[in-house]
Amino acid sequence: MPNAAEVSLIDTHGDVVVLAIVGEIDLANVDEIRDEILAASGDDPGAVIVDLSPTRYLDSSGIRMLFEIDEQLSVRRIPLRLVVPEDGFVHRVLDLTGVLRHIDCCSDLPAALAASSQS
Amino acid sequence: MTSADVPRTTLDVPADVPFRRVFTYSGVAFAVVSAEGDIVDTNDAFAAMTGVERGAVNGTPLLSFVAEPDRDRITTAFNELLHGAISDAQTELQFHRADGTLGTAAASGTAITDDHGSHYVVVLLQDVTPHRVAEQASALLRQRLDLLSRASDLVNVTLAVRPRMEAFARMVVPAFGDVCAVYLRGADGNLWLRRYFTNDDTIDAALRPLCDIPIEANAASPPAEAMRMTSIIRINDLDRTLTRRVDDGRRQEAAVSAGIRAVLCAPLHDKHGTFGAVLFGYHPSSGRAFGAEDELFARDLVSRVSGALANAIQFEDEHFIAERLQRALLPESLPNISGTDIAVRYRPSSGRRIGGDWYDVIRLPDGRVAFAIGDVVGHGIDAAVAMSTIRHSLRAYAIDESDPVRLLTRLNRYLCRQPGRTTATLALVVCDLHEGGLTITTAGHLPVVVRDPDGNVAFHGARLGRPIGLSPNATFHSESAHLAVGGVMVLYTDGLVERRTESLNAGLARLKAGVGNYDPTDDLERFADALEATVTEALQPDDDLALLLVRRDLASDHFETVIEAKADRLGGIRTDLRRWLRHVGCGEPAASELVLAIGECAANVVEHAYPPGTSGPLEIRGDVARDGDPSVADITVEIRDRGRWRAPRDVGGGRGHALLQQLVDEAQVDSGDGGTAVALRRRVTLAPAVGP
Repeated sequence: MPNAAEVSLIDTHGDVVVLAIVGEIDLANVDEIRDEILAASGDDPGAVIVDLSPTRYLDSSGIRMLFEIDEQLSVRRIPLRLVVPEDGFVHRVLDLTGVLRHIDCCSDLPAALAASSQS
Repeated sequence: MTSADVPRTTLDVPADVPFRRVFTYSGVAFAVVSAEGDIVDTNDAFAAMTGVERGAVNGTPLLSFVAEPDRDRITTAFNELLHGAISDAQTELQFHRADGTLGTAAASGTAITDDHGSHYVVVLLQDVTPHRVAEQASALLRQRLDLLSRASDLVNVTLAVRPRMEAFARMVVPAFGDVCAVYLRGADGNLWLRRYFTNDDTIDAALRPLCDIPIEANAASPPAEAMRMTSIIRINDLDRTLTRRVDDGRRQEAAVSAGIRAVLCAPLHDKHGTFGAVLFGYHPSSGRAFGAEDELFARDLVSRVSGALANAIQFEDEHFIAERLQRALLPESLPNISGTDIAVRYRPSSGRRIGGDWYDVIRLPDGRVAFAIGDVVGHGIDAAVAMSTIRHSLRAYAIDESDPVRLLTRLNRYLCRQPGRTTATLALVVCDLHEGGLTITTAGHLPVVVRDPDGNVAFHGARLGRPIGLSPNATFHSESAHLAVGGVMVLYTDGLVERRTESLNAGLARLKAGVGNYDPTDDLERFADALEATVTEALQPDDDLALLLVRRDLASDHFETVIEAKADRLGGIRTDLRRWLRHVGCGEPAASELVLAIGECAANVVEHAYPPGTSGPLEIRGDVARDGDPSVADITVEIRDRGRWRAPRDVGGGRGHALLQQLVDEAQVDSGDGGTAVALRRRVTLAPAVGP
């Protein structure tokens, strides 16, 4: 399967779970990616950071997935933060679809970590 | 009737003289026949021979006792006797008995004239039936012994099933039936009429349509019954018991039109059980039926051919399965990769053995494309299974690995861990279709041929590694080459270049010359035909052949692809679209946004165009409309499905629809019974075209 995406657990910074989505997100893998992210967030961490800087493609199924994850985590009072480089294609998609206005987004990982440790 | 000139015996003996008693009580049958041909007197012997009482015979025509085929001959002799053309006659004839059976008699006749001048013929008949029956029985015995001995020789005819069945059926007719039919159990458990032989056109016409109709294993039918019971089924009154014996209307009709009454079926079995039945049948015109003693004969006859047929079936099954397997294991369709033209050929071995040649085209995670061709050492089902293992392992590794040397290393290690040593040669070429870069690896395989658009041909990738499956620590190397736009790459297996009568170098030189002569404007399929034709005559019967041709095409303003609407195909489409947009000079972010817009529409087709569990085509066509200004153009893309419109639906869900509106200048949806087409248009700024 070409252009598959992979969720990699970068680290747990204290009680913050940091995940990166490497590759392209579409119908073929969106369910799998959501399940992996939710599974990695299972132990009630203080916050979850999803790094989309290595994400090359994201369509509306991916957008839907981000909203679903945000909703599930907010029920459990776990803040979700996205890392989205401002000049990238993914940033433009998140902007067009309103994600930027609903979910906290930072332009790099240090900023996201800093924001998460404050909360 | 007039008297002739020859002297005649006069019948003037009184009834009470001894001669009369001789006539009456003689062991020889007498009949006195009038000039009109009617019997006027007979004796006890005649009554005993024919089974008709003396008194009842008088007045009946002599010919009524004579079997039809002999009647003309007897009439002629009778008239010649009456007319004095001959003075006496001897012959043998078949006569009817009162019980309907036929007997054979030696007959002689003499003409006489009584006192009143009336003419008669006295016929003397001696029943010789027992002699003839004995003679026939001995001839039949000789014929049957001969048949048994020939049936035993059947094992030497050939290893193929059909010729064996045919040879068997032919030798049986007419010695043991007017028809012989062989039924074999198919993979479906049903009994199929596989071969029959008859000299009778009516039987032939009746049986022919039955070859396509299976007999269910539990049906009422003599062959099925023989197989079920593992015993001989003997029927001599099929005309009267047909509806009980045969439950299929078409077979009943066939039995009626063939006119077969006498049937004997014997099961075919070997040590594993029954696997079919043989049917023998007599047509009523032969006057023969099957006796109890024929059961023993049939049992003996069929047991002599069972083994030979069982072996042949097993061989054919294996050959059949291996070939089907081989074909099934090759990719059903290759990915449609824009910017390339691909042609493949596979030709199975014509001989008994099945090879393990294969090819594949795989999109790699880094966007490049892998072209693979291989040859498993060995033949038969094992080779076909090994080929499948290798092909699918390569596909599995290629999900997250794009480097050909690492792919080959992993594949080799995996293969070495498999039980049952499998060795295979392989050529793996990874192609960057943007730039034309080729990374070539080979494992004991013949080198890859690359032709540039000017007709220069070169071999690449010779001796880069040993065959896979030999050693888990084997190392592989790669070689770089370039596939120019308009260039062709040829991957092949040794069947293309190996001939028994020439060296491998000569074969490679022939291939090089053949590729050099290719006209690059020609259709690639025709080129594949031409290459395949160069070996058609010379292909060794036990060798198979696989061929994979790749041409890198010129960038075009037109993009077109048709794929199966499945989620896992979307990534490959995006890769192709990005390459096309780059080719035509579409810059960022327009290119990424167009890919997203098209991706949304394509995902919508995957999700909504076809009912769950089914799939259908997804067609994407793109064009560039340029006007006077060379720095801008309208890119139009149509995304079409062939599903039935079920309910008005937006594109990609509400969010997808909103997204689409912002990504393109215009989006039009056109739905009908023939499917849905979404037409997108976006004005883009063009950079000078970048490479193909």
